[in-house]
Amino acid sequence: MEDKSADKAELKGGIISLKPNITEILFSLGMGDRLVGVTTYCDYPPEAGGIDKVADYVRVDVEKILVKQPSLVIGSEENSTKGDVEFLKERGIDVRLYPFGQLDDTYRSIERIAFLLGIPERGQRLVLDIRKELDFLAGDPQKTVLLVVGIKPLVVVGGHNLLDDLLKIVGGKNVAGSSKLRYPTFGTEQLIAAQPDVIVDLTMGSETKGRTASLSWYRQFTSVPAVRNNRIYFLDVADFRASKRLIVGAKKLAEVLKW
Amino acid sequence: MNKSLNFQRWLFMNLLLLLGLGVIVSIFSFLGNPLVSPLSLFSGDNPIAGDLYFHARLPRTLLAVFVGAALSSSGVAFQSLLRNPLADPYILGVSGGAALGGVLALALNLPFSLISVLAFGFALGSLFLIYFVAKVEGRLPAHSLLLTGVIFNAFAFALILLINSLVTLGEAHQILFLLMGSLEARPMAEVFWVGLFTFLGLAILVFQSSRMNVISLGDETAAQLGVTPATHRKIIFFAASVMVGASVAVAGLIGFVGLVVPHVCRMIFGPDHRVLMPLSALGGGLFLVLCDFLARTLVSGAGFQTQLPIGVVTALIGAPFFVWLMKK
Repeated sequence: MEDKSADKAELKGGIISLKPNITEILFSLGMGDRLVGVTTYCDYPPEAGGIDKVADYVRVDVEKILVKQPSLVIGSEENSTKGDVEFLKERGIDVRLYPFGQLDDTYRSIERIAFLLGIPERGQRLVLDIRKELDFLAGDPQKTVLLVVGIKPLVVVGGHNLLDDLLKIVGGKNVAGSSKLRYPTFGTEQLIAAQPDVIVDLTMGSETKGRTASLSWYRQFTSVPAVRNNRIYFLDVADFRASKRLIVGAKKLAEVLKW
Repeated sequence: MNKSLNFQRWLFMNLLLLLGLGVIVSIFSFLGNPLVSPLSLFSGDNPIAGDLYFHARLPRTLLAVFVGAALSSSGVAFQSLLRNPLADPYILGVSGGAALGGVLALALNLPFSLISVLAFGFALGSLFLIYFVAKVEGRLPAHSLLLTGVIFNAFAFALILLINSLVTLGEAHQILFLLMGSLEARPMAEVFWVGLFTFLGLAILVFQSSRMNVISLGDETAAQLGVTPATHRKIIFFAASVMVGASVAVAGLIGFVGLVVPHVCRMIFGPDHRVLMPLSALGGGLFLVLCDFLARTLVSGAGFQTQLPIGVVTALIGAPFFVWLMKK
């Protein structure tokens, strides 16, 4: 695996990105103009919105990709449909999958993508930039935090997760951090028993209209410190994409933990 | 036991069952991770215990009893109505309608509280639709009821898949969970409504249980014995379907309970519906309380901090138990 992706790709044709964070990484590396296909969720930077859509979050439109004759397709190891990847490889298309599950994976994958594209120094600089920005945000883990990604059922951020890594850096202790699962399903009773100081709800994205319903649901549990002290926050999960954008998310997370 | 069944014995049996169920519910609502001690609820110095008990444990344990009772007793009713041992509460299409309503409410981004309302509305709508399609010359024959139900279910699930393919990934995930079924975090008001419909439906089914004994013999034999099967079949169909609709609307599709509990009860206690109906309701309630206890406790420890889908637990326990009972 390692040696195969270590060689440089032939870059006569265009590149296709199968994940929003990969699109963002390619733009950060100055390769955005080489993109010929992205996903329906690729909305950042704004230029990405103008590129043809060839996939959504899990499904890949293999016909559209074949028509584009790309020299390289980049996807993530998480959430990629194996059948589609195998099909494209059999048709002679160079498909590479990289892990972005945790912060270290993300750093390494950025460097490997840059190396693959023949611009290793740009990859190292991007990783260094992200590391430096995160260093500024470092805090002591004092407050206990519950990061909610789905409310019905209650799905939360567990251990071995990029968001868990960022939370540790900015000074929060994930109450579900000991879970081996990256996204455990928390019961109401586990929420109450965990007694988090802060609840960060990531379920809404940039939408605000559903917040009242979620808030009134959380507020039933009056024994929870986050509820008693009114420390329930809504953040946009897109700000935590495994790209340079995770700095935006980490800053917002540090903000809500500050006071 | 069946031969000497008189009203006093029957009443005594049912009161005993109800008492047993009450004891079990109160025990299991305190068990879990972490344990809640009954004393801490009344002393008032531990607000966490009160929160845990009244917002998490009690509603879901009660919901487990009601849903379990509704599914098992309607399973008995449908098995007798269709004279088909494979019949389960979800076979006659009402569940498909309820699921469709719930999924539609999710896709339209309606508030949580409206999801179960729309689901129940759809359940009632599909109930009448199925009734009018399946009706032949004022009667509800088993074969046309079965066919209509199966086709309606297939149609409803095709629509659900259609909606599922059009919504965002997050919504698709919620739809999956709604279909898998869950007793988690329902407001007390919804638990109360499911309880009310279950109680009413069960009361009607229990009153119909002696007719069910006759109907199981076939419509012609029943008519010869002086029972008008057409009317009773409709009453049984409506009572059981409303219970199923209410339980699917609130708890989603929880498999296996309504199929296996009636068979297990029949193997142990015999085929007399007067005994079988209340016993199945109790058995279903007990079974689901136990399964839900395992679902929320088994993998809640530090290493996983998660919960299992209730349908997984009902099938993993129910299927081997059923096989063991058959081979015994």
